[in-house]
Amino acid sequence: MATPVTTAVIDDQDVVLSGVDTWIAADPEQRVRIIHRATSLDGLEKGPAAAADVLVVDLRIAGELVFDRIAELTAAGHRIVVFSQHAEPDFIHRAEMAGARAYVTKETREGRLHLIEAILAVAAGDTYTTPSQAGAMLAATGTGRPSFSGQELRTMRLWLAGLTRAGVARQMGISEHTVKQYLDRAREKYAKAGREARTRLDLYREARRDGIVDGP
Amino acid sequence: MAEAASATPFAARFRRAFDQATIIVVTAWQVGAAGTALLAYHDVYSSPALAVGAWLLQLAVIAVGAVWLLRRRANTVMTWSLLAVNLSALVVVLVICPPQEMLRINWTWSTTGLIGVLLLLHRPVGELVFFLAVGAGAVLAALVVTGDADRHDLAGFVTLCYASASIQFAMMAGARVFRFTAGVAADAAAEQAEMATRQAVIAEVAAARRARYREARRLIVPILRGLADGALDPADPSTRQRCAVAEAMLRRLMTRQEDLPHPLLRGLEDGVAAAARRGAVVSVALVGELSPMPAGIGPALTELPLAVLARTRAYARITVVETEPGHVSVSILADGTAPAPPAGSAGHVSAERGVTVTMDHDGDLLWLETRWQRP
Repeated sequence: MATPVTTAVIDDQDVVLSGVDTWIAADPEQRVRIIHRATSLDGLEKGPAAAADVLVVDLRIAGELVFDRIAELTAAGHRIVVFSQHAEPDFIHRAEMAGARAYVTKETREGRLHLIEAILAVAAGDTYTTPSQAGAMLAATGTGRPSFSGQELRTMRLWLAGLTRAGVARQMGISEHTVKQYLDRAREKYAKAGREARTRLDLYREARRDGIVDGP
Repeated sequence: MAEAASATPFAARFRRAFDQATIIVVTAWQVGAAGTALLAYHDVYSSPALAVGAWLLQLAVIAVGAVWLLRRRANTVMTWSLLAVNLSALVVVLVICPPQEMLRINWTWSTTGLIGVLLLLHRPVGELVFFLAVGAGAVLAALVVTGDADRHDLAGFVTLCYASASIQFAMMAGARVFRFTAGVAADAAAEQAEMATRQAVIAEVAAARRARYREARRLIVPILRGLADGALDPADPSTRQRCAVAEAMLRRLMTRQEDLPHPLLRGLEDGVAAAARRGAVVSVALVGELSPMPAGIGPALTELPLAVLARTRAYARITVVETEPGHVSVSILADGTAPAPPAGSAGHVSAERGVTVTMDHDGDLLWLETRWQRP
């Protein structure tokens, strides 16, 4: 962990930027360095933010949801951690579909405990699953619902309840590494099911347009 | 259920009123019209004693019929037995009437019809038609037998038939109208009751909502004012704790989906509010939809988490999960101390209801989970 991970933080509220500053400064190992702060997504491609390892982005900037901007930035090769006050499953799902690698909610403890870990994991090319994301995956219903194994379900429930990785491992009698594996596997299934559902929807729409399928 | 209960008074009152009116009319006719005729012509009958006997018999039939009507206590057999008795009175007077005077002084014909209406008031109208036809047939037969069936008498017969039948069918129609109106009145009353209930519910829900907002403001306004005045220092940990508590409460308020949440959640609400008032940050997460559960399961699931919550000082996270219908878990992660196990082991009380309990210490936090599965 020689060089700190560089990150740019974008949030339309100054106080959040200050807060993230404080958390990162309070990390004893100084694993993350903020190289750019901004209250809007404009001009991100040029300037210092373009070189950042990870972007921490709020979902709602200047009153508007920025899922499409996130999708653009992901397509351009940026790694994005969403940091939002919204904890609803469909927001988390849309962020996942837009390409965000992690979703941290601005709820007590989740930000403080998980933001830095998420930044580090994403910088290393990994995904990171927060308790809120575990909750969204558990809440997935309908045709897009992935089939999780019993172990994956239990891991997600314990993670959602707020236990540390060590606590989850102890409860389930497995190693911390296995806990991460279960979460990653669940995440993959979830992302795949979401993509398939979206693809199916697109196919259906095209079939409708071409007149192959009759509408309701 | 409530509708039927409130409908009974109205329907019963309406119907009772009409029944009483019918009884009065029939009795008045029997005593007034028939009684007068009896007195006026008593020496014309070949047997005055039988005439009086027939009159009294019909009076008795009216009395019994009236009681049955008001008490609604008559079945088909009883009714038709009484009708047979009624008809016999008609036949008796037909027999004792001198031939020429049949149509003029035979009061039993009209009274038999009216008594028939009294007895058949709430039965299908076809039965009354049948009965009146039988009565008319008896009179006609008597006319023919006594050789009185000439044009004048037949004309008189037909006229009397028509006159009496029209009154009798009018009474039947009246009974029907009253039954219908009773139903309409009952429906209107039921609707009013339902609207009143709905308004009461809305008022209570609104009051509960206002109470929640008041509680939130009570917590938040002093903080904001203190921060604005500079009286509260944002760097002070106790100020931060107060802000965190208020934030958690606002979040709970905003994510609250319904005014009347599931009983299990309602059971947790008071404990959560109490902990928040003590200055603890409480976050509540609900995943999945809570399905209806048997009585007692909700309290069994929340008993131990609430005990932990009561000992919480600074932080608690409560998670309620039902991803699979019938599989419910309630877990709490808090800085409180473990509750003393209830009589026996920690799982004893709950084990009766099929609730399993798991506990753990994670760092300096206590974790407790209760789970239940529908058998």
